Amino acid sequence: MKFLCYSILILLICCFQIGCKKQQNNTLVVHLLSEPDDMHPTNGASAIRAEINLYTNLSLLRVNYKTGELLPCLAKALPAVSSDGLSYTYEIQDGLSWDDKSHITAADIAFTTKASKCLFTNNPGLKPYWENIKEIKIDGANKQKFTIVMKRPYILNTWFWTDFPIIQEGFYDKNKTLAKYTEAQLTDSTFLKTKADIKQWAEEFNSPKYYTDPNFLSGAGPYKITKWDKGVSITLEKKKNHWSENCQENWYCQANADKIILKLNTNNASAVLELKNGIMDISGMIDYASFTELSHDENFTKNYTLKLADTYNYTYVAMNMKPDGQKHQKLFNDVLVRKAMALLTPYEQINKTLYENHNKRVVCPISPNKIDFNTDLKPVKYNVKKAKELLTQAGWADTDNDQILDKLIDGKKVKFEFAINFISGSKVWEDLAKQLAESMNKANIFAMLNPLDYNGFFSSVTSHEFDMSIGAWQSSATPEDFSQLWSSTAWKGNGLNFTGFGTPQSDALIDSINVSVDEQKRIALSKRFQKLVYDEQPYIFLFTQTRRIIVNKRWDNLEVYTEYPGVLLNTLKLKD
Amino acid sequence: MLGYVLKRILWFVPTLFAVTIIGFILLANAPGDPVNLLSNGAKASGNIEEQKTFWRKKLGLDLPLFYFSITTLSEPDTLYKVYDEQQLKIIKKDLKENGGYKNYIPKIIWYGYHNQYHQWLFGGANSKGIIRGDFGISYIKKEPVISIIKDKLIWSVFFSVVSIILAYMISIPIGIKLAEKPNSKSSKITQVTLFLLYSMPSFFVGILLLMLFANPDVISIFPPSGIKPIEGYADGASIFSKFIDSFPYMILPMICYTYSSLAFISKLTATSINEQLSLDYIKTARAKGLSENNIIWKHALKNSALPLITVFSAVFPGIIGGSVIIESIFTIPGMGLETVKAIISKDYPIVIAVITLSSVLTIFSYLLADILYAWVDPRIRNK
Repeated sequence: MKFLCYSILILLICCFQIGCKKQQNNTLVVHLLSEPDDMHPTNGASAIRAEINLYTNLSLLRVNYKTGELLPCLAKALPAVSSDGLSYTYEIQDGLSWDDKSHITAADIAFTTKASKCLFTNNPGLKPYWENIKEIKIDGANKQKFTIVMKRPYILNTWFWTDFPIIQEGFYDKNKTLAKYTEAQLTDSTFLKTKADIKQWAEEFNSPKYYTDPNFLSGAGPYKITKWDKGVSITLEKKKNHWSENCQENWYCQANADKIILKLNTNNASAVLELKNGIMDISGMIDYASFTELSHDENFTKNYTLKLADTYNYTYVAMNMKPDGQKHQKLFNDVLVRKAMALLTPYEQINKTLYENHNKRVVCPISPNKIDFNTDLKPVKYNVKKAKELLTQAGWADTDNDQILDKLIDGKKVKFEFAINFISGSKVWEDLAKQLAESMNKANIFAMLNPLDYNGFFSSVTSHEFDMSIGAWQSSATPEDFSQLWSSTAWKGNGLNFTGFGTPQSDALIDSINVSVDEQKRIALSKRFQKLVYDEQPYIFLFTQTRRIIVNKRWDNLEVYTEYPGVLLNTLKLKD
Repeated sequence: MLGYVLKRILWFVPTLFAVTIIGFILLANAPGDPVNLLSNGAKASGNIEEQKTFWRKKLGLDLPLFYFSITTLSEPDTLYKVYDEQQLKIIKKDLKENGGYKNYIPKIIWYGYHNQYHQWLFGGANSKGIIRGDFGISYIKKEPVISIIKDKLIWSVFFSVVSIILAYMISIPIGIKLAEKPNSKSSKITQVTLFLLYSMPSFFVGILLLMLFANPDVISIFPPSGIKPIEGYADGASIFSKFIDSFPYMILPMICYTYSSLAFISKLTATSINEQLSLDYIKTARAKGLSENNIIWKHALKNSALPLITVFSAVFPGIIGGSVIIESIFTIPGMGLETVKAIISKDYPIVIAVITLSSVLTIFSYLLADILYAWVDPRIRNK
């Protein structure tokens, strides 16, 4: 018995030694809520890839996190643009090299473009972003210089490059197969049918090893993925003798921590405990309530800095403006009703109970943190009385005294009852839906909650089979292309315009914004468009989302940004 | 005994074959065209027919479904080559309208072994077949299914098997104690405690354990999350040293996996042994002067093992399914979360792999149970 007791005691001591080992070395342990599906240089789609790519790869241009403007990265400077807005000439910085010490040249930019555009590459979801590139002309005399010829002028012709890492031709296409063909040939399916060498290259390029095997993930950034322990962690290690060691002025060159370990933790409670135990150095994914609780915990704040960071993301409640009238009644066709719905939303209560008052209001389809936000637009305030007046004005009344409004629509008596769709599994969204339903009930409107799995939810909104739907959009410092969410074609083609918003006037305005390369002109047009959406209220615009950033005080140089991911991990420095 | 086991194994083969057919039917009839899913919402880019053809051929979806098909004389032999559902509907409608008498004459088309099922089961140009552990390519991750589930399977099987063993190791002695002195104070306290544990949901116990034993505000003995040290195992570490490294991480999840079975198995053991203790052979053993321990452990326990074996055969197939809740609380890279993710994202090859493996394990556990029945009770094998 004594032996058993001693054994258990020894085991517990061992557990204590191993289990609660605090991080002390120059290794930054970061909280990861979900793993990327893959890290393929062109074919991946998950959002977390973008954050990892910030440290392992370089792009032609990056975002200046402080100003929200474009920052040359591989390029020496921002491009020289031709007068027709179609040709962009860049030159790559001198002295930049890949891991095998070969120089980064214009051929790599051309390869990245061709690999992304080639029909055989398995990235169909991303191909539209590359569609506007007509060709890349490499300067005959200077292999660092090249001109990108676009098919049409577009506001994102330069910004687009911030999203895509440049990949090494010598690593992914040793035989220079793609170099033999033009961009046009690689997108011509008839031509490709006869080209076995391209097919063979694509088969290799699409093969699983380039998705997750660290030995087959190569980039020009100061860090390299050295280990991917699936479902556990991803380790990035600082490259030795990398060219970036001599270039510390720009954030993308910096590599202060020797290692960055992205540690997966899917549970909020255990993530809080990992922070409390000093196991994890940084998290931006703790829920609002825990963040507030931790910020009041003196023991915790002794060791951790807690900061809130704005984002460009926002939450909304979409209303179906063009339902079929059969499966879904024409409840929200009238702008007065949509405005009444906005007035019935208890914004302050939602912000307090669900977001601990941390979130800012949004009033139109862009975040108030963006430079082109129309400050003349004022937030709609909760006002049940005014909402009831608007509903009466729109012809809704409780004619049969059943406590639910009704109205004759197309000769048929329709009750004001509908479902609020949201993705199941999120407690916050469920509570939000409940608060909306309760508030609408005050105006004799009956709303039911309809939680759906992601696929069901997405299919309901894109096929316009919904009444009201809760969602969120992620955005960045990039100028807004409103066509994806607000053009009529995006509704007709079952795209991301869920509500049916769109008139010839708004479509024309979107088209004008998209070709306005002049920043001031674009901002003026963007403000006009925001006003147009504001007046129509297809969404109940709710809040910008706030990142809750927690960083261990053993790390210095902390700055938080509005741009994703909020903190640049490579810039954090271990305190002396 | 050998004849009995061989007979059981012979039954195993056709059942397994039937399971593979059911698994394949599920896969073939899963909603959505896998090629579209692999092409990631292909409609966005428009011009992707080449890619679709590429993936269709790679997955063997350009082949007929089975060795043969039963159809009508009006349908052409090559109808399986029409992939577009809308197009297929139009063609079928047209054939029905213009087929005349041919619509009523049945026809069997023989395709030979160049078919999807054969390729899925035994392998073909681009796969080795499930018989060699190749479950195809994940629609979402575009990686072979087996490489996705391999590591996760190991953790799920590890936790489940160890928890089953622990549950039996703890519950049987408790059950025996309960049977020996059913009305004693300690028995009553034990029973109440066990049923309290049984009534507590695993998410509650998981969080409670974390808050008590991984919380610096209370006691911080165990790590709150994960299954191994943050920096992973040392290069070239032996299995033993890996186990030692992972040991602190395993304790809290293992408690969660195990505690709920304790009440059930111990109660079952107690009831079963109680029945045996009233039988004549036990009275004879007592009359012969055998010790109470000897009577219970050597005689009563073996004879009361049948229900315990039945329970074992029922829980065994679940070992590859993992537990979504426990895996989520402790961030264990197991099969539970992976399966749920696969279901949500319609990644059917992973779902079917889990179903097929579970079915195989179910059949295997029945085989094992039959063998164990025969071992503990000779009357069964003599039948």
